Amino acid sequence: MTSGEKRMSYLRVVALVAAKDLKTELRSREQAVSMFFFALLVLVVFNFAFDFTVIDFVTLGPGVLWVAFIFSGVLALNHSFQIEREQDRIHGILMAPIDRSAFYLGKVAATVLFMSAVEAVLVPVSVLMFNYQLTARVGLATLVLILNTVGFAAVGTLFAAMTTQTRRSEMLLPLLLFPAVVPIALAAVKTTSHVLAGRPFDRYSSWLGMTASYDAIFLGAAVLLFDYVLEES
Amino acid sequence: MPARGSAARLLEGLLLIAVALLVPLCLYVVFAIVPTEEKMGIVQRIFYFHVPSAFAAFLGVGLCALFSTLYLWRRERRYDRMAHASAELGVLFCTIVLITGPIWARPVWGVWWTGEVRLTSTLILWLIYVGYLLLRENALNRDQAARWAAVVGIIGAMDMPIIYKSVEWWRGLHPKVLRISGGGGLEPTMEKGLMLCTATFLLLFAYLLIQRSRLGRLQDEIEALTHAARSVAAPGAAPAPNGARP
Amino acid sequence: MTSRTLASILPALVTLLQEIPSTAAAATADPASQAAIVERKLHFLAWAYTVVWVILALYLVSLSVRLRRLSGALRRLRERLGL
Repeated sequence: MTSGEKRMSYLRVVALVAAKDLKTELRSREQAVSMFFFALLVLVVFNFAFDFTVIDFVTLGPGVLWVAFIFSGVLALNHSFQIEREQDRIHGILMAPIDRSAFYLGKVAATVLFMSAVEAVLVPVSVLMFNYQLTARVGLATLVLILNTVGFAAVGTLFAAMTTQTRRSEMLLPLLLFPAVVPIALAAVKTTSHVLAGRPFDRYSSWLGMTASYDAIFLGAAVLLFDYVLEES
Repeated sequence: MPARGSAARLLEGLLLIAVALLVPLCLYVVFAIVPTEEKMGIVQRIFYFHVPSAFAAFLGVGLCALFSTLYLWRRERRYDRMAHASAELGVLFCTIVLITGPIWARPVWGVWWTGEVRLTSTLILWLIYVGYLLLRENALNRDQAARWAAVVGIIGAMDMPIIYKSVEWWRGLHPKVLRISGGGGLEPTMEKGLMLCTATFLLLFAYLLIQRSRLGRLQDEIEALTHAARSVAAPGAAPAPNGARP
Repeated sequence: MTSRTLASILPALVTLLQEIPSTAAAATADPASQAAIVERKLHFLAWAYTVVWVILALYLVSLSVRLRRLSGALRRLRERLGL
């Protein structure tokens, strides 16, 4: 194979894996619904817990939003590998002559898409629920949300591939993942807060730079390490 | 796997003697020799155990990442054993840091938890490596435990500087401003005291590492022999124990 | 310890910890309160020092107990297999 062909088929694998997950979801729609309602529930609980007529949403809001996104993201990650196990596709993937890191990237892409869908709906919902004056630039807001989601999904997919094979996966994934994505969580809250309030870009450009670096570093590391996670034992 | 050679035994013995001598020396230096710090009073002496413990914890994390990488590259079980031992010791010393930190903070700053950058980052580190240990417990078999732990060990160590930076920025230091070097210089006596205690803790770490790795090797040998015994009794019944050379 | 006992002890423990007075807040004018502050600091110092060495000692003991147990088990296993 020429290197051009090889590159093409790698990307094709990534796209195929992501597309397969999307198709499965479109047919059953169970994951998107549960993710969305779980995230919504988190917002509702916070709406009751804090008096947002007194507290400025700008202060607490991004934190609340990202708690919602992260919790529903864990749902997405668990589900992402559960469907593989349910249909016993893990063996198929191990047998197939594909680069396992392509499988990993496809999974990350699918998770990012699911989480972004939830985020896209929930930000307007939170605006309504918390009577918030949104002055965001949509393009930048989208960039901020997606970059942070990619970081979360990158490490999350790597860890979920391991934890979903254990018996105590519900406990292990959050335990491993939450400390590891602290930089993303902090950056996400900061950048989301600034971008939703329409503040100038250089106020949060360093934070966004940190997110982008985190994404690059851990996507790269995971691509190299993913092979070791799914080996046939 | 050959039994411990006489050279190894000698090293172990020397380490034990060194630690046994240094610990009382450290205690004497910390309580009798070193001057009392002005602002914080005698409580500041906690620093002489708190800081070396932190060094030991970071050493544990670093060694875990190193041995994890070596394991993934060479697939030799002994690297995995040392990675596991390093991580366990890292958690041990991290625990000490996280307990002595608040005990020091309370009389000095009035609160148990100050949200200080280093202590917060150490807490996150502790959580990651506790997760490492729990993941090992929950893997399906020995080989999987080794591979997965290696991945987490490497990711965790890579994450640490980024976590530290992000917590630092979060606490309010402007990202573009250089961090102001804190605390000023140490008095030479205090510095020497700190170095002595650090050396003691690091030697203690080395000794514990050897012992803990030995424990791992015994576990692996027992597992291998048990399996060999079973397959002699019922040939072909069980699959071979997975892979790595001891 | 039953969980109910634990559940009743825990809030009391937390309140107690909160109430251990912070030395920093106290005024440091007169020698009497100075002495009290030093005593309190010594108290904390002693606790910290104890914690460090108790944790290390416990770990060392646990290691040696496990090592001894496993060495014995390995020896017995080898004898049984005639090695």
